[in-house]
Amino acid sequence: MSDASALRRRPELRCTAEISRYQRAWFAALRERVADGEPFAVLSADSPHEIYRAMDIPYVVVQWWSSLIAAKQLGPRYLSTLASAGYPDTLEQYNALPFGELLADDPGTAPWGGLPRPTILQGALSSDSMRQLYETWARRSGAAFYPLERSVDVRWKVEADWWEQLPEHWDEFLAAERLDLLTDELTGLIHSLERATGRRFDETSFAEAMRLSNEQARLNRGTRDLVARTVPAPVSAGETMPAVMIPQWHRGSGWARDAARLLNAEIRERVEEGVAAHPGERLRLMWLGRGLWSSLGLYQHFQERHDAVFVWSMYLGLAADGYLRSFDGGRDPLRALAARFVPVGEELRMPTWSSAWHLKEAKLHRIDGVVSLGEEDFFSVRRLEEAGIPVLSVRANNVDRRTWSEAELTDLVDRFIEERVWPARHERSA
Amino acid sequence: MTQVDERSTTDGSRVAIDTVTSGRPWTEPLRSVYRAPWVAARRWREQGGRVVGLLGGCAPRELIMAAGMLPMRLRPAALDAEPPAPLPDGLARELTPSTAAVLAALWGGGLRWIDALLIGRDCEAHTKLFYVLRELAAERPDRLPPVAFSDMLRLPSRTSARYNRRRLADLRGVVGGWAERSISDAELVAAVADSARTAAALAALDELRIARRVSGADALLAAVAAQMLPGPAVREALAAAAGPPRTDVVPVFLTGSDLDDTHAYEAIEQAGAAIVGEDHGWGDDGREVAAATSDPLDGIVDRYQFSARRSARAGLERVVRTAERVRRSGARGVLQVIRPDDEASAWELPALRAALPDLPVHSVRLAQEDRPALREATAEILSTIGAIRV
Repeated sequence: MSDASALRRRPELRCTAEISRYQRAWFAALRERVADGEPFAVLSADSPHEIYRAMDIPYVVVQWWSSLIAAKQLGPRYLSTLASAGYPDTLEQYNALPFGELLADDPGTAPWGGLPRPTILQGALSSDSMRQLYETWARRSGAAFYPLERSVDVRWKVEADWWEQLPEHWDEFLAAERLDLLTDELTGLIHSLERATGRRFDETSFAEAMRLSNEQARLNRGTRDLVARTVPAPVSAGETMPAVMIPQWHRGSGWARDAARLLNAEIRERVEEGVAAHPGERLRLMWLGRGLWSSLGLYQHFQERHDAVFVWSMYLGLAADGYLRSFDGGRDPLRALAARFVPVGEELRMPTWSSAWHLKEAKLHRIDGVVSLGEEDFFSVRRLEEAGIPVLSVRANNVDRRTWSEAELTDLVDRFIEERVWPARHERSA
Repeated sequence: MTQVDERSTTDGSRVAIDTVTSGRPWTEPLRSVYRAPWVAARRWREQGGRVVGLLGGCAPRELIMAAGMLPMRLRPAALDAEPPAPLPDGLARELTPSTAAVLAALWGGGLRWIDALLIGRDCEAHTKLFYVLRELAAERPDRLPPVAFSDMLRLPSRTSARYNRRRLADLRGVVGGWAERSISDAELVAAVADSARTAAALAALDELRIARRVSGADALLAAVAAQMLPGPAVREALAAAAGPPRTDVVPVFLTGSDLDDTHAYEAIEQAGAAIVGEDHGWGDDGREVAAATSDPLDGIVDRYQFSARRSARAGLERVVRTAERVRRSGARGVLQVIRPDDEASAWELPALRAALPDLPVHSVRLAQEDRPALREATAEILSTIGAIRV
């Protein structure tokens, strides 16, 4: 199933290259800080990065590093290393790849000189095996593991319009006991980090990180709206994925806010000047699920072939709708941070929320067809199809190239566009 | 409904004949409820009682008992006398085979023998089922019984303990609503005490099992039935449990995925092993029971928060407890059986091997219910044990 070639992304924006250059320089500096003896944390994407930001503890986000491993075509090798050590290689690949890199112990071939050995690991217990995986990783690396629980929304009736309610009304929209739990856990985490690193948590720095992250979210919301309302789209999803996500992993910093502003400004400029990702755009596509980081050019492949542009991925969508939590009126920024992470995952995978959001975003972006990869998507598919938007569901894992190939995917999407998207489009137009 | 009951009764009678001829009459009432739980549920309801279906071992049955209702843990393989209508393809893919079976039975009307459903957070597949049911109920509320979710967290921290207490207190109100009355502390204390008596009977059975006077298959049968029948009925059956000791079998401990299939146990034991203990989500050696505490909710929360059964959402400390139980059982090898929907157990394997360096630990992954694979894995581990003995 795997293929060695990778469709490379054609640059569309100036800022993406600038953002990527910063990331390389930042990572090189991080390696130096860690080499000098500073603590180093590896965090899952749904961990409270803002606390580490405020305490100036260097960190890397697991999912970013895994996407880099995938982009360097090293995924199969590290998964094989896991299997050789007796660990599963078909579970939690997105979280497990850096652990595979650790076991492979070959920095010479690892991306960017390799991920430094962590002193802190943090993950939310979002699946059945996250606790075992991270505890095992901690044992093998010598890191301290700080888990966070993932509570469940047990209410029998929940409102669907989370994207409208959460930014301002999170303290009414979410169950109080869930917010209490995570706020208490974060309080304990701060104490643990202070003890482990000798660094002091500064409330002023933290509140500033929260303000900056909210500002970043507002900018992303503006960017998303620009992309959604502009036909032809000023930029494709293959371009916005790195341009949004690299700053996302620096959330709470001035640089991340500025990068989001840069992205917004450049896209606004393109809209004003009528510059499009593909001027001949005739179809607009949506990518549901995790991104193909090792093959970002695949998203642009269908532009020339079908005049079809992938305009939506969850990365800009969630950056626009999922992170903003106002804490004005004397509200506790730590509780606002808890409100950012209590529902994370539910926005994407709890049917009541995810299906409503996917439909809302599809309509907002005037989507003609949806490709869904590796998602449990029954309710989203049903609602989208009922709205006349065809969906292609593909069973594969985004960072495990053993489960998909570019040739197979392009063939599937080609046929999907010809056999379902165009007919549906004609039907809507008739 | 009547037609289902008639078939159920017929099926139950056939079970009784089977067990009498097996020479272990004490297993008869246990096997009946194991195979056809709807028959016992119907009897309970005919006497004016209510039945609450439990999905998973983390759903706190003590609350249901305290409310005077019968908690019956659902076996996905025995939900109805009739096979359920298949779910739409995409919806079945959304779920695991087990949770899809429960949904198919609920949606198709096959689970009308329960008055309410309490889902425990044994694994994230259960969480997903709850979300799916909630979404479906918004469209067709008439097709489902009342449903609640028990979100018992497992980290050994005070924050989780406090959250669990709030959740259990809320659940007490929900279950009281199902019973149309409040649940008193005295009733909770009585439910905990009754559970403790059943646990003691299961612990006694476990001793017989270690002495190889009761097979692993029969012990599993008892553990499963104890999660379906009223306590007194279970204890009455277990009081008669015994058999001649067997010396021609090799003691093996079973870990990994939840197994409720006695035939799977029989496949392993027919290959020459005796399953003298297990730590998956269906087995019960009588050691996990709520303590009698001043506030009865405290003991119930502790029971579920600190359970070592089932690997999902557990930490590696579970492996330490598994190793202790392996030692205590006298097992000479460990068989880890992993079902396709189990995402957690495989992570325990290297740690388990490290904790038991002198014992063979074999792991087998089942593509589905695969008895030949179980027999083959058993043969492998017995061969290894034989080599060690030599």
